[in-house]
Amino acid sequence: MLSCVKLTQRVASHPGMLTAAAMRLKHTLPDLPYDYGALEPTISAEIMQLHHSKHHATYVNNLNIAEEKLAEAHAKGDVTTEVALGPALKFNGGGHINHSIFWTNLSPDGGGEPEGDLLAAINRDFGSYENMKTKMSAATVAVQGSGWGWLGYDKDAKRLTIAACANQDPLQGTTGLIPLLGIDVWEHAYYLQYKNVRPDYVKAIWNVVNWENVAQRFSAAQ
Amino acid sequence: PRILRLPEASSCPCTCALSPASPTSFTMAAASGELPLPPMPYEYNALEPHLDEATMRVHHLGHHQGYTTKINAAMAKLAEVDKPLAEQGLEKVLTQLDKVPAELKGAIRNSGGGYVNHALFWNIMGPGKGGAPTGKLATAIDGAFGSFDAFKEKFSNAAATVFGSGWAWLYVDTTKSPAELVVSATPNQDTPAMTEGHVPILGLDVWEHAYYLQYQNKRAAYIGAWWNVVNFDEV
Repeated sequence: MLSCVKLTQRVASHPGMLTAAAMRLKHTLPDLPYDYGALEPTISAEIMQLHHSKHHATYVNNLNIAEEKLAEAHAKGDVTTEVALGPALKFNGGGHINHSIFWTNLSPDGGGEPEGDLLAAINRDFGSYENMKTKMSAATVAVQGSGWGWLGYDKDAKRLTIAACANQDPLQGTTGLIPLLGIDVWEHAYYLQYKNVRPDYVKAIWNVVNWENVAQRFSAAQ
Repeated sequence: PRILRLPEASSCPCTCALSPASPTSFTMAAASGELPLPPMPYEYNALEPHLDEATMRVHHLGHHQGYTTKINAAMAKLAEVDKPLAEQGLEKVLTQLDKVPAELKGAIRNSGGGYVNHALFWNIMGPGKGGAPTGKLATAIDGAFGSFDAFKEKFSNAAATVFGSGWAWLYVDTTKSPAELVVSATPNQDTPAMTEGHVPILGLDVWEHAYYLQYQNKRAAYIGAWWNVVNFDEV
């Protein structure tokens, strides 16, 4: 879930009365659940610090700016501007959603294998955990340019599905699949450590996957 | 007009033929019929401090080499299913992606684009370059954009606002009469050259791999520094 915690209000002519136009929900950068160095040697502290405090922070800031502009356009009935803001909302909103999920998908205590209901579903839909891992890794490495690999849940078909999205396109917003586990393959996610060898990064990241979190998301999606 | 300046000590086994239709494009044929990795026209550290040596090495020997290997494999497969199309050469194939079989389209678009884009990129940069264009190019830029500074701003903005991976371009639209100069941006390894008659003459790679080792997330700083190495003689 996004952390929309700060309300900024303009006091209306009636103190204490808030009009919809006066309320602005501002998104904030969620704290990382562990230290920047906690995922070493799989993901370097330098990458985690840049990724969280620069890249994700920028998506948060730019999402707030885009939403502010959207509210202003809406108040003026300026549909042209509302529509023009679509890409910025998708980029930055998607970036905020995706990275908020990503930090929770990883853990210094991660790795190992999924268990329980999640494992049962993986076995049912992919034959085995190893097979799911192979397929998801391949789909993730194959992303052209910037994007994400996902393990998602199709609520209608009641099955796990592997998908890839371009840029910061959010999985649920663009495909309807519920995101369970994401692997960021924008070059900023791995370049300082793995350079152009994306397959090595995707191979290594399984060492820090937080299966508890993935299982929680799966359970919540039922 | 020369397209590639090969280092004097080069033992490049390829012959470089100019395409008559478009003097700024090129076709290269290695002895085996495969496309070679285009040589870097200068040392890897030659663009320091603006573009660092480590980046130039990985960019050329990792990324560009990867595109070279993959496009050769894809073109070989294309030759098996559509020899006449493949024999037109990569540049022509890139203008006819709709004719490429579905299972090869992605590979040819991404790796073929990557191959030609990076070949252009190394050539439009050089040590001790930068500054401003002169002569016909300067006049054309002034005519199209008002001034060199206005062009720089427009190009830099196009580069800065690419979301995800892509390129900023200055290309000549030869389908117009008179020909026009256009600033544009493309995603991933797309190129204006995918449209017949659009001839890229300047390109800036804004994939994160092009700048991340030195500039991290600060793409604007990379763009600013890059102007110091643009070889306007080549452009």
